[in-house]
Formats: sequence, structure tokens, C-alpha cells
Amino acid sequence: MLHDAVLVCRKDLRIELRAKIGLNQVAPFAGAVLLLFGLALGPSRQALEPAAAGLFWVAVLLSAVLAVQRSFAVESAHAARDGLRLSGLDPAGIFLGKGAAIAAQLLVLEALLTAGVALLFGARLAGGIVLVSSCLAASIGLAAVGVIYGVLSSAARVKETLLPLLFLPVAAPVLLGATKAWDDALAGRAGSSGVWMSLLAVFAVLYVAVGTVAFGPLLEDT
Amino acid sequence: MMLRRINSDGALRVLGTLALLGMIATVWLGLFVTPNAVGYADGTVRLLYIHPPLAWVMFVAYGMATLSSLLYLWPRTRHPRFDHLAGASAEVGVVFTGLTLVSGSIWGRTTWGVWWAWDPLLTTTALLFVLYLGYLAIRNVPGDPETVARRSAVAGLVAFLDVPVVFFAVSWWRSLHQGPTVNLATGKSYVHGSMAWTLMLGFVSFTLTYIWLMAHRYRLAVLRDREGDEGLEAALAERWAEAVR
Amino acid sequence: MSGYTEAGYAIVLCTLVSYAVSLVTRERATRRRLPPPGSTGIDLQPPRGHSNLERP
Repeated sequence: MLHDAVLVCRKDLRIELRAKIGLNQVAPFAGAVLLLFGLALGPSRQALEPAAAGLFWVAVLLSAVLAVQRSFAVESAHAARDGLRLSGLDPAGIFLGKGAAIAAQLLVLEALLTAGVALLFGARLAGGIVLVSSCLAASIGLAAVGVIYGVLSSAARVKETLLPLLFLPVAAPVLLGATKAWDDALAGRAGSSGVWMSLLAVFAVLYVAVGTVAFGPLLEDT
Repeated sequence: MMLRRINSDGALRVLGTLALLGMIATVWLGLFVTPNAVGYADGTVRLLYIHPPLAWVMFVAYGMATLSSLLYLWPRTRHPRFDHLAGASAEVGVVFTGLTLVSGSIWGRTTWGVWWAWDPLLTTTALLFVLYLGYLAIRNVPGDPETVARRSAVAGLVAFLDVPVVFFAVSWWRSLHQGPTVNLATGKSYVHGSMAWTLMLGFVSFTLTYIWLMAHRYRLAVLRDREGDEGLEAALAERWAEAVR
Repeated sequence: MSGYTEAGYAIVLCTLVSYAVSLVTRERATRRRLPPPGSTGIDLQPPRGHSNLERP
């Protein structure tokens, strides 16, 4: 299973490295979202700095929708999905592989966005361990939910509108937990973010488990 | 099987009559008979007879939808019946969630002076509403009936699993950063006498209404399914006739 | 009375009644499009086409 996961993950990341859709389109999109937040909340640092964590995670969530859509657009082109299904790879492995690839892309995106938040909103980066570990847990959770809903909605002709409707409400706890963890860390209260870190961890474990079990039947003939 | 018995026309008609009578009695008692309790804004206490029953039906409906999804996914009990049941229950649940939000919002307007407060229960309910709207949307994605059913069952489970996570997240969010939140349930300690009876009647009649609505929605789903099958058979027969000719 | 409470009752009741009416009319319309299955009630046997779901 793990071997299959590594295979699928490397395949997705290699496609991504060659096509550079993430770098050329998703990352600039996230940057544009940050700029628009800045415009909407006004030029004063007093308004932007306290909101930095929340704006960062909203930008991540919106970009995650694009990343998931891209990950399944790759499969639907040239009927690559059938190839994947008939490849004899373990469905759980495919789920973990695709999830890991999306999580890796999200982590890169979060690194870029962190720089953007520090630059544009004047957020002082503190509590590095909490920042990094919450990014890690949140990315895994988002990627897991994203892959489940990605395969569910990829059969629909209206997938562009269906995926955000399904994905964003389910991801609400991630937005909440990650924002609060970042708030605490940025305000120098990194010690009090334990409850939010555990929320993110529970979310990630829950949906990785569900996806691993449920991906087989979903992939069969959607 | 219980379903089959409820589904017979006669039983359903009796159930519908009981639900209708119960609703009329609840409204009559709630709006005109029960006293206007002290400690509430003018007349607001009367919302207490419909708001908790609505929320209760919402939970029953989603519980039923989740149970049916599980039964569908379990290979031994896999049957289209459970798929129809899950869809019917979730749709009725969404209607009741909308009504819970409306009645809760009116309660908030008269009691707290605002249409919306970021109360944990209220926020969770709002997210639940959006979650299950998404579930109904995915049910409408066309495809082979068996595939659609399996897809919907997984989507139903994923949505339901999110509910406790959301609830705890929102509760911590509120409790860590604000004073004690206003609890919609605080009013319950004042309930007594004729008010208690009215509330009980409200719970019973809203539950009966739920069962009636769900049974009808279920029959509609079964009929639609058969319609689809017979349409397919007619088309196949036509093609056969053409080929033979 | 403020009128809010009555409005709440009215919204709840109207929604439930119109949902019920829409269910019944949709059911009637579908039934009319289908040939009668022989009996008065609908049979709850699984529709054909699902035979692969049956356990032996």
C-alpha cells in the first residue's frame, strides 16, 4: 500500500513539476487573494495585523480547492482515471499518494503565503514550531478531505461548482483551529495553542482513516 | 419490516391525520392558551413550543440518514431501499434545519436584539445546513443508480463525521475568547404546567410530521427509480424492434 | 405581542404545508406517468436493474 502511495505521489508531483500549474497559477491566485484582503480591510496596519492569521488560512482554503481540482483534472484528461483504476494499485495507496502530493503542494504554498503575510500585513512571525506543525496537520487534513470530495465530485459535469460547496463547509474546523493556533503563536502565546493543535490532528487522522477505507468503493466506478 | 407497514396507504393516512391534528393542537395551545411567562420578551416564550421540536427532528432526520447510509455501505444489508431512505430523511432534515435556523433567529431577535449571534449551537446548525445542502447536491449528480447510491452513502458519512468536530471547535472558539454564551436551552427551567404539556405535544406532533413527510419522500424516490428503469426498458425494446426489422 | 412570534409560527407552518403539498403532487404526477403495477399500493420490491445487489 505504501509503495503504491509513493508511486502515485511521485507521479502527481512530477506532473506538477513539469506543468507548473501550481507555481504559475495557484500561487499567484493566492497572492492576489492576499492583496484583495489588504484592499478590503484598508491600509492601516492596526486592522491588518490582528486579522493576518485568519486571512492567511482563508487564502489557503481557497487555493486548496484549486489544487484539488487540478489534481483530478490531471486524472480525467485522456481517461487517465481508467488507467489508474485498472493499474492494479491499491485504492488506499492511490488515496494516500494523491493526498500526499496535494499536501506537499499546500505546504509549499503556505511557505510562500507566510512570506506574503509577513510582508504585506506586517505580521511578526513568532512561535515557529506551532506555525510549522499546524501547517503540517492542517495540510494533511485538507488534502484528505480534498481527495475524498475530489473523487466524489469528479464524476459530475458541474464539478467546478460542486467541489467548493462540499469542501469548504467540511473544512470549517480546520480554518478555525489553524487560525486560532496561528493567532496564539503570532501573539507570543504559543503555549496555549495545544487544544487547537489537537483539533487539527484529530481532523487529519479522522479523514485520512475515512479516505483509506472508503476510497476503494469510490474509485471503482464513479 | 416497519417500513413496509408505514408505507401502506391506510397507515400513512392515519399517521398524516394524527400529525395534522397534533400540529393544530400545538399551534392553538402555543399561541392562544398557554400563559405569557414572565422573564421573556413579549410573547417570545411561545417560540419555545416549536423551536426545540424542530431542532430535535433535525437531529433525528440526520441520524436516520446516517444510519441508512451505514446500512447501505454494509455489504450484507446493501439494498436500494436504504439509499432512498437516506436521501428522503436528509431532504426532510434540511427543511427542518432551515426552519430551526429561522425560528432560532427570530428568538434571538426578540431576546438578544440581534438576528444572529455566534452561539456554538447556532453556528453548528448553520454549517450543518450547508453541509447537507452539499449532500443533496451530490445526490443529484447523475450516473448509474448503484454508483450514485454508493457515492451518496460515503458523502453522507463524511458530512456526518464533521458535525461533532465542528461543534467542539465552535464551542472552544467561543468559550476561550468570550464570556459565557447565551444558551438557547436556558429557558427550559421555566417550563411547567400547561407549557410543559404543550412542549411535549410539540415534540410528538413534529416527530409524526417528520415520519409522514419522510415516508412520502421515500415513496416518491421509489417511484422515480421505477420510472427510470421502465423508461430504459422501453428504449431497449424499441431498439430491439428496430434491429429485428 | 411583538408579531415576531406569530411570523415565526407562520413561516414554519407555511413551509411544512407547501413541502408536503409538493411531495404529494410530485408523487401523483410520477404515478400517473407509470403504468399501474397491478395492485393499488406500490410494491417495495427492488426495481429491476438492481439484481446485482441481491445476495444469493
